[in-house]
Amino acid sequence: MIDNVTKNVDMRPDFEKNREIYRKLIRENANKTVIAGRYESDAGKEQFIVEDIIRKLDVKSGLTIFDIGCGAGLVAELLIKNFSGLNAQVSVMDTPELIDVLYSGFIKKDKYLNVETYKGYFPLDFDFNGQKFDRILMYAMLFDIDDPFEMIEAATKLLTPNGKLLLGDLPNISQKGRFLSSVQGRIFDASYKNTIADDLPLYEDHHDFVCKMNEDPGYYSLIDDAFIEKVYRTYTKRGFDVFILPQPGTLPFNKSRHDVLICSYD
Amino acid sequence: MKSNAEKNKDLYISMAAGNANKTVIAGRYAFDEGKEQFIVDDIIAKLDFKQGSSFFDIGCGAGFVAESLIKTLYNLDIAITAMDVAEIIDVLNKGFITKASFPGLKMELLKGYYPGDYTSQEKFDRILLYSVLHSTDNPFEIIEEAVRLLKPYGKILLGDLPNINRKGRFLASGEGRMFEANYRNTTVDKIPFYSDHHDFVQKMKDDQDYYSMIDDEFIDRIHKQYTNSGFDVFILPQPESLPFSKTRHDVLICKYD
Repeated sequence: MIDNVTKNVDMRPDFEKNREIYRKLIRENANKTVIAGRYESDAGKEQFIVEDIIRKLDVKSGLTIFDIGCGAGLVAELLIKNFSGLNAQVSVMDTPELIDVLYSGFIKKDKYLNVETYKGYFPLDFDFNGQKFDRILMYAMLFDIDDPFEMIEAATKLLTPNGKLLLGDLPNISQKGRFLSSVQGRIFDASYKNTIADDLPLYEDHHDFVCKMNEDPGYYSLIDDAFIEKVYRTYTKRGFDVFILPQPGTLPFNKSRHDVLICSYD
Repeated sequence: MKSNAEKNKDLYISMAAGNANKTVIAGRYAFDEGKEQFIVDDIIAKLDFKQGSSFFDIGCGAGFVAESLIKTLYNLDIAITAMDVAEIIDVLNKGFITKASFPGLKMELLKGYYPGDYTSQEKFDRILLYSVLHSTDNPFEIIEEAVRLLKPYGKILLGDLPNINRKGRFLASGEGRMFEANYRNTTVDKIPFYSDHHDFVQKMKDDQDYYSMIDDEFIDRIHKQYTNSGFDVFILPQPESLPFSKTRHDVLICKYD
């Protein structure tokens, strides 16, 4: 068996460029599905995402919730709406530009004024002074940063006893490779690219896909099976429960993404 | 000296032969009676059954879960194959499954041990090993052989795995100690103290009466082995309505083509 090939860290892209893409989308007033990094054709699926998050995080009345990298799209708005409806105390964090859009376009406008907002980069820009949260969410964001492990580590330190941290919507390159090297995946990809399966690149298996992607300078992914196993081993050893969860078929990227749930004890 | 599998087999056969209650003969406590439907609902959700597909229940047992699962899958027009030792299959066959109750039921009952006594080449869309692997001497061989029986896009659920590390994490926690004291009808200070799950596991390993092959390392090994071989592998919690949700979890292995 071949172990997954991890790309050399020197090949990491400039993540600031990714952030600039999101800023540009905001300046151009792109629609609220697109500014969150999803396709326009996925509009309307945000409610499924939110229902899945609430179920996986087991959100209950009176809990404190911290959404790290909340974005300014519909998922952020629906989460605030649903969490607040469950009488949870919500805190959200993202870069100043995104928080400004979320605040003026939704929080202030729709009067969710008890939502706490943090502007900046997690964890560097913040000192929480011992503040902890019952539920923490990092959704569709760990692949857009330089050091996901540092971020997960910092987030687990903010969990209350019996707290839960959801690392959501992880684009696992190995899972994507398994899907795209399957017949079902090739049919899906051909339909999505509006072509025929014969015109798609052929991958022998997911190892082949990962190797080819790692050779492509335009593609970068830190998240693969080895990453997930490292998270599992690190946190179970330290006394957390760790679960690796599929996404329901209604979610936009369910064939190539999954979630990880980390649960603390007291 | 009897192996783990032999000791467990004797226990389950004697309970089945002695007409123990149908919750107890499946290895659960009498006070868990009524929770079987939650177990079945959870299995159905996790295995995502499709109407008209095929299903193999390895180590099906003869309790309420087996009965309720058959009933539910019958309504979905699933072709069922169920296997367990002869004594258990005889009990299952004795009263519950009648042609009058289930007209047109597509079901084959197999007697014996898996994989040794399984001779068919038939493949299945869904396979279940529920509350079984910890009662065997060779869980990896059983998983390996069961995975071979999956059809393309098939799924196998390794259900109700008593992960000793997870049990340790729970019993070393404040919540776990209170739960345990309540369960044993005593006070928390009378409950053995574990500094963490490593401490629990070590103490359990020192105890000759305790035996568990299933721990975090076992789960990690399954994940690594099957993802490397091209399967998706998920590690799933159990809903709190299930009898052993605090100390057990499930693993779902999904095949591509």
